[in-house]
Parts: sequence; C-alpha cells; structure tokens
Amino acid sequence: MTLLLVEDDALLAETLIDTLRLEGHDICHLANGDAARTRLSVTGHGDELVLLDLNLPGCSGLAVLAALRSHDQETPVLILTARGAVEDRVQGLDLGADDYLAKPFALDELEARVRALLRRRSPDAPLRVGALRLDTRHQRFTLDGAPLALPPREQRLLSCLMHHAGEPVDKALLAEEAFQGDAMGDNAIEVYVHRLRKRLGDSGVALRTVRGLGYLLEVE
Amino acid sequence: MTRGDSLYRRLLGLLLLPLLGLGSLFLIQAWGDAQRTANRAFDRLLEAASLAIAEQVQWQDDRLWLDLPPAALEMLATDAEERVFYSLVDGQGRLITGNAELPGDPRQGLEGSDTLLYRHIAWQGLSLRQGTRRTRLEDWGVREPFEVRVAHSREGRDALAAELWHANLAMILAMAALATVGLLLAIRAALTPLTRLRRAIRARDPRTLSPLELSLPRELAELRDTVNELLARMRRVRANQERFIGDASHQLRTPLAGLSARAELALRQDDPARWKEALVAMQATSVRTARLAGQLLSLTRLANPEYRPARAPLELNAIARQAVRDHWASCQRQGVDLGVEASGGDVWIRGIDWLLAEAIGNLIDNACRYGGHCVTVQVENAPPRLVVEDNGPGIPEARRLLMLRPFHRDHDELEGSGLGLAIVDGIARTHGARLQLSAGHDGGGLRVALQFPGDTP
Amino acid sequence: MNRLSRLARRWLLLLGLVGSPAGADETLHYPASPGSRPGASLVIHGALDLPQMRPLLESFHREHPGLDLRYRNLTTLALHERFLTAPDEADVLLSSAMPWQYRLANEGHARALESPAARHWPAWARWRYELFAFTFEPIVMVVNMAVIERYGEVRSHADLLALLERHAQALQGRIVTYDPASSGAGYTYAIEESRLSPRYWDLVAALGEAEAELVNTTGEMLEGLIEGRYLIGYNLLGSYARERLADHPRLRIVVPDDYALVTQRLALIPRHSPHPAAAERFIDYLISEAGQTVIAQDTPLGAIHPALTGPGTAVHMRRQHGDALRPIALAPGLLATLDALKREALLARWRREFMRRPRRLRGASPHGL
Repeated sequence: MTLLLVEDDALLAETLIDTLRLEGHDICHLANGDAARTRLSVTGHGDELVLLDLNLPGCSGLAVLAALRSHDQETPVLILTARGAVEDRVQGLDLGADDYLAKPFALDELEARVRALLRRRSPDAPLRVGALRLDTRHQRFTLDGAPLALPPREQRLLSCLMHHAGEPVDKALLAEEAFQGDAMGDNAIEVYVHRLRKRLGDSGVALRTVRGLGYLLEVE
Repeated sequence: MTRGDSLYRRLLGLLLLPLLGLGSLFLIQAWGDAQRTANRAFDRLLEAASLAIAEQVQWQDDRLWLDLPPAALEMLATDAEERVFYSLVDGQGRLITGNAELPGDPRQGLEGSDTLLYRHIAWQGLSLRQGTRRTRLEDWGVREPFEVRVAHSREGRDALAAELWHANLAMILAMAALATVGLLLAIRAALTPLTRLRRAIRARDPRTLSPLELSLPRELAELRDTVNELLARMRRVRANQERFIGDASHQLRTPLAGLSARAELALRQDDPARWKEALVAMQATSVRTARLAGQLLSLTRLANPEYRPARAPLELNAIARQAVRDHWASCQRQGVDLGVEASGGDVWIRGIDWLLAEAIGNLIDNACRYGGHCVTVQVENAPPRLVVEDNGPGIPEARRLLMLRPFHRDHDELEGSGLGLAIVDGIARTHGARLQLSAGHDGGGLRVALQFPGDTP
Repeated sequence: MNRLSRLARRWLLLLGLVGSPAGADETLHYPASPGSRPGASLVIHGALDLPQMRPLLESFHREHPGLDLRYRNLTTLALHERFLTAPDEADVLLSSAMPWQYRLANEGHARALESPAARHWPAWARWRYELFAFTFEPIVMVVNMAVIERYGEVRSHADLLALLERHAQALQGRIVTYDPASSGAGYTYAIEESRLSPRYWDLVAALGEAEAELVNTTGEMLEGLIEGRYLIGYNLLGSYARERLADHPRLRIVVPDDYALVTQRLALIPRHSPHPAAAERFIDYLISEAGQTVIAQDTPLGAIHPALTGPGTAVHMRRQHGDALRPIALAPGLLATLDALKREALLARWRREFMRRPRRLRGASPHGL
C-alpha cells in the first residue's frame, strides 16, 4: 500500500520520502496538483494515505481534496500547509481532510500523525508502539516479542492508549474505557497507570503523564 | 448602491414639485380672482338695473307702482345675450310685478340704507346670478319698503371669467416653462463640480495615495477633505506596513544568512561530527525562522481591519485542554512538561476560538523557549482568565511593557520572542481582554494572563 | 295658476290677431311620399296665414318628401296657450308676437339650433340661436293721393305731425290707427315708438285732436282706406298693406324716412319637440337662401338673408330707406312690453295724451270748411 505525497518543494519532498521509507512505507510522489487530481479521481487509486500540500502549481490542494472526497470518503488525507492560520486548518478539515500539519513541522510529529491516521483506518490492524504490539483480533499483547499477560482492566487501558499512541488521552476517557462504568475511586486510574508503567519498564515505550489532562503512550 | 437614483433627478423632482404646486396654487387663485372680477363687473349691471327700476317705483292709488323702464332690462344683457328676469316685491314679500317670481335673499343687510345682495341661484333649471336691492319708497307720509330682484344667466360673466383666467393661465404656463428650463440649466450647472470630482478621481493612478487637489464648492470640499483624510490614514498604514515588511524581511534575512554561513562552514570541514553539529544548529535556526515567518503572517492578519470574524461563546477549559493536547508533543521534545489546570466549573467567554488557540500557542512557545521546564496553562473564573505560567527566569518588571511592541529598536530583545507577545497582545485586544504580565505564583518565572471582560455570555 | 300667469293671460287675451281671421284654426297637410321611414314627421304651429305659408311648405316638402308635414294656423294667443298646455305637441312655433316668443325663449322653453346656417344668420335677426327672425316687415303709413295733392308729400312722422297740427279740422275723423288698448300689435308699436322719441306723444296728441279712429287690425284699416272712409292710415303692417293695395294706386304706402319700425316673425323649436331633427331641418330651410328666396318672391313678408338683394328683401329695403328702418330689437326690452303695470302706465298716458288737446265738435267750428 502506498502513501501518496503531493508536494512541490523538492527538498521537503525528498526528506519526507526518505523518512517515510525508513518507516517501511511505499511512497508515491507527485509534484503538481493536476497530476494528483487525475490520480485521485479514479476509484481504486490504491493509496492508503495522502499527504497533501495546499500550495501547489496547477490545481490547488483543496481542489485535489475535493476531487478525492467526491467519491472517496475513506482514504485519510493529511494536509501540509505553509498557511498556519487556523481558518485554513478549519477549511481543510471541513473539506474532508482528516488532519492538518503546519509547515515547518517536526518529522517526529509527521510520523506520529501518519501512524495515527493509518491506525484509524484499519482499526483491526495490529497496533504497534515501538516494542509493544497488540494483535487486535485476539487481544494479545507482546512486548519485545514476549507475550504480556494483563488483567482485563489493564488490557483495556493499554489498548486505549495504544490506539491513541502519541496523543494525550483524557483521564476521564481512559477511566471509562478501563472501568466501563464501574465505580472506582478518583485515583484508581493512577494506580493502573502505575502498574502498566512497571510492566513496560525499559522497553522503550513510555507511558507519560500529561499534567491536568491525562496520559499518553509513546516511543521514547 | 442602487442604480438609477440620480442626484440630478432628485434635485429636479424636489424643485419642480413645489414649483408645480405653487403654480397650481396660483392657477387656483387666479381662477378665484377671475370669478370675483367677473362677478364684480357683471354685478354692476345688476346694481344699475335694479337702481333704474327702483327709481321708477312710485306710490299710486295706495299701492306700489312701477313704470318699468325697458332700458333697465336691456342693461342686464350683454353680447352674450343673457336671459333676464325681474321681480318687484313689496315689504311683505308679495309680488307686485315681474316676469318671474325670483326667490328672496335670506341674508340680512345693513339697517337704515339700501341693501344690495348678490348670489348665485338655480331657478327653474337655469343657473342665474341674482341681485337684490332692498330699499324704501319715500313719499309724502309714506315710507314703504320694497325689494327689486333682478337676475340674469351667467354666460357673459362665465365667459369673462374664463377669458381672464386663460390670460393668467397662459402667463403662468409661460412662466412655469421658463422656470423649468431655467431649473434644468441651473441644476446642470450646479452639479458640474460633481462631474469634475468624478473625473478627477477616475483620472487618478489607482496605486497612488496622494491627496485630491481640486477646488470645489464647500459641500463637496468637505467630501474631498474627508477623502484626503482617509488617504492620509491609508498612507500611514501603508508606511507602517512597509516599515513592517522592511523589518520583517530583515528578520528573516538574518537567520537565513546564518544558515547559509553555517552550511558553508560545515562544507569546508571533513569531520562528520562537525557536520552533525552544524546540522543541529542549522535545524534550530530554521525552526526558529519558520516560527518567525508564521508569526509575521499572524500579525499581518491581525492587523487587517477588514478581517473581523464573529465572536462566539467559548468555554476556556476546553480551549486550554485542546491547546495542551496540540502542543504537548513539541514541548516534550524540548524537554518541557506542559500541563493544564482547569478551573472548577465551565468558564464561558465570547471570542474567536482559533485566535485564542494562536495566542496560547505563542505563549506556550515563548514559555518553552525562555521558561524553565514546567509550563502550565491555567483557567480561572471570576474574572475569566486564561493564563500560561512557566518557571523560567521571567521578565523584569521594567521590561514587561517593552515586550509587547513588535520589532522595537532594542535589538537585544529580538531573539524571536519579539513578535510573540505582540501577537498575543493584539489577540487580547480583539477580544476586549487585557494582557497581564506578572511573576509566577512562587515569585519566579513568568505568568502571562489574558483577562477577559467580566461578562459571561 | 300663479299671479304672474294670471296677469299675463289677461294681457294676452288682448293681443290682437295679426293678419288672420279671428278664430281660424286651419291645417295644411303634406303627407310623406310612399316608402319613406314611418314616424318621420314634422308638426308646425304658426300664426301665418295659409296663403303666406303655402309656398314655403310646398317648397320644403319638395326638398324633404320623406317627411309627413303638418302646419296648423293658430292665432298668436291660441298658439301660446296651446304650447303651454302641451309643450311636446309642436316641433316648430312661428309667431309674429315678438314679446311672447321672446318670453318663451327667455324662460328656457326653446331648443338651441347651432347649424352652420344658424351661425351665419345675422346676429340682429336671432337671439341666442334659440329665436330666429325670418321675415322683415316694416310698419308703414298709407296715404291717399288726394291728401298728397292737396297738402304736399307726407314722407315721415314729422311730416304727419306737421300736417295734423295744421289741418286737424280738415282731417277730422279721416285718420285711422291701432287702438293700443285692444290690439296687441298696436300696443307693441306704441311702446316701441314711445321709447324712440318723446315726440311720439305729440303725435298721439295730434291724432287725438284730429279724432283719429282706433281699430284693432290692419285689415280694418285697409278696408276703410280702400273704401275712402279714411284718408290716412297710421302704423299698418307693410306686408299686408302691399298685398292688399297692389291694385289701388291711389293709396300710397309710405315707409317713413325719419324712422320706420320693422316687425319680424320669430321661429323657435320647443325644447320637448317630438321630432327635433326634422324641426332643425325646417328652420335651416327657413333661413337658407332657398327658403328666403321663396319668402322674398312668393310672399310679401320680406326676406332677411344677406345674400338676397332683390325686391322684397331686407337688403333692398335698407338700400332704399337706410337708417330709417328700425327693426324691433330682440332684446330684454321686449319683456317690458309684457309688464302689466307698465301697460297700465303706458295706456293711461296714451289716453291722457290722446285727450289732451281740446276737441272741436264735428261741424261746430266757427271756421269750418
């Protein structure tokens, strides 16, 4: 499955292609809007993600997006734009983009967002956060290849965090996922997080606290 | 602007209408005058005829007696060959003689002298004007009151009235025509300054903001002066913009110069470790430059008066949380612990969500750069406040206000934070909020607060 | 009937007949030619004798054969009364009683005619397009040639006055004129003459001194003149005189050259005329050149039309007598003729003047002839 990169700046494009290839993706690169629109107007274009720059020669990025969305609501689109203003962001999201990244961005950020989008797309695909893997079909966790046995609550908690890897998750949401309505104390989540942290140890996967908000799972 | 509403036509209409109204009034008055004049002239005939008859009334055989002079009746007919009627009536209203029983006049006259009364009557289907003379016969030992009533049809006097009125009509119409022509010419002449103004404006180079030099009458002169004031303001704004662009391009050039210099230096070296150093440094600079460019963009957008998005009710806690979500990863990379401290309940204000997000973004950015390693976004209630607090070195009190000015000349301060606070200040003002700089709760660090007006939506 | 009508009626009863036998009520009827539109008819009431009307009616009927034409000859009194009782009976009223026709028109009983012929009719011969004078009949004196041979020409009222004053005794009882008290025409002439000049009363006194005979009709005057009972006739109807005296060259008709009243017959169309279009056509005919020519040539009435200049026309008479001709004006002054008190006053004066001068008993003159 290919990732489609539509970006006209040569340096940036080259960098992104190399970065994403390292991640294990196949990249298709197009440098102008018309080519992108032609490719995406066809059902069965075969791209599992589109990285779309808005400032393109020829047809504008938004037009490409519109062309895609006219028949395809599934393929996730990540907009890259030099226009940092929020209204551009909103406009892009309104038109059907799934996420938005303002230039210049950190490569880490790009990778994380791409991963998140891909994950969203195939929720049943196995999740992977660094050394931690989750076979979503059988709900089997492995850490560094070794199976990780978890009690149900911790499973749910970890699963939720893995689904949102790289993003902070509200404490309230985690509690709901984990405890599923059972009345627990206010600090119950912290206890479970603490337990999970111990299990994760030095695996290179960190369960971080976002002060005042919640928690987040990421690769160190 | 609606088409077809012409000043010329308005003036013409507003001036012509009263003119026509006046003209009509004159016509009506002239008609009344013509009627009165004709009546006066013809009533003289009634007066003379009734007098001629009255003078022939005598007392004979113990009764009133009349030797009717035919000339009296002839007096009542003019070229129009009016119909003529007369009655002689005694003091009790009985008809002595006559060719018609003309009705009496109910009006009272003056006591003690001859009374002459005139009025229009409709008699036997005819439209007549009647004159009534009340007098008395004075003879030896006799004081006998009697009335002479004479009447004639109205053709003659109506013709005279019509003739008089037509003369007036002709004159008034002529005057109205003259006045209209005069008006048309006058208005056209009066409005030529407008044409001059329009041509002057149209002839301008669209890019120039130089003032309009044109001599105009007072009312248009005010317009011209107002336009010139606007142009002057626009010149100031453009000067500001140009200065801003000038400053901004300097700001961008400097780090770019640094980048290329650093790259050049690194290329001269062979040591990969050096290259890595150079790359790290260059990356930092490019990130900074990129950030600056983004902030420049925000500032220009904020300064655009035509861009006025509508304020909507917003909940500050949600905004704070979202900001933390958005910026946590980048803060994490810089080794900064970003957190949020929400207030107890919902805090609602009226504002523009993306502007506030931009403001918080800038503040978090600044805090990461110059603060310590702990940045907290706080929300307070009563008054509603959005706060970003860090545990860095802070800003001395004396310098705090300076920080708000973009590109102020003190180059020491241009380390990239020069724009951030200016942007946040601008956003605060858009929301009617106050930007407050103070030290952190433990005395150190910097606390930047956006205090919103006390009303909640 | 209101007081006014009663006053009027009393007077009208005394309005003499002009040129027609008392009580005559004759009718001329000219039926419409076969095939004409039914209902097209014309009813004329007039105070003209049949011999005078016949030429006019025949000529008109020839031009409008489709009209059923009916002419009723009535006395002026009967004409007026009949109209007042039945205003929608006649289509045209023709009368010599000028004050009475004027009165009807003045009170709005007439219908205006505004045809081109009417507009061209001389203004002095019409009133308001409601009354049209269509004849021109001077009032004349008739003088026996014997008087002229003996005493000289009598060409004017002044001449007559001088003659009477000088030779009253010789002419005693040999003069005849209208009795104004019993003749409507006579009264009309008297009132007009008294307006013209105060010397009229001198003439009345002179007539009284000469013990003139007072009669009611022109016819009586003419009979007496023809028989020789009278030598001078004063104020005869010129048209009638001319007709009757055509065969009597010894009786000279004199149109006085100081003034001569002219009487005119007046035509009017009643407002409620049943056939107004036909009536208008008749009046148009009366005042047309054709109709007026018939009047000039076939009647003694005298034509007014300004285009006609032969004998028997106003133009001709004006050329002969000029300023002397005084048509009785179609003006409100005519209404004074109808005023009852005026009549009393005038008649009283007339009687007074007539009786003013001492009379000589017949035959008892110390200087008798």
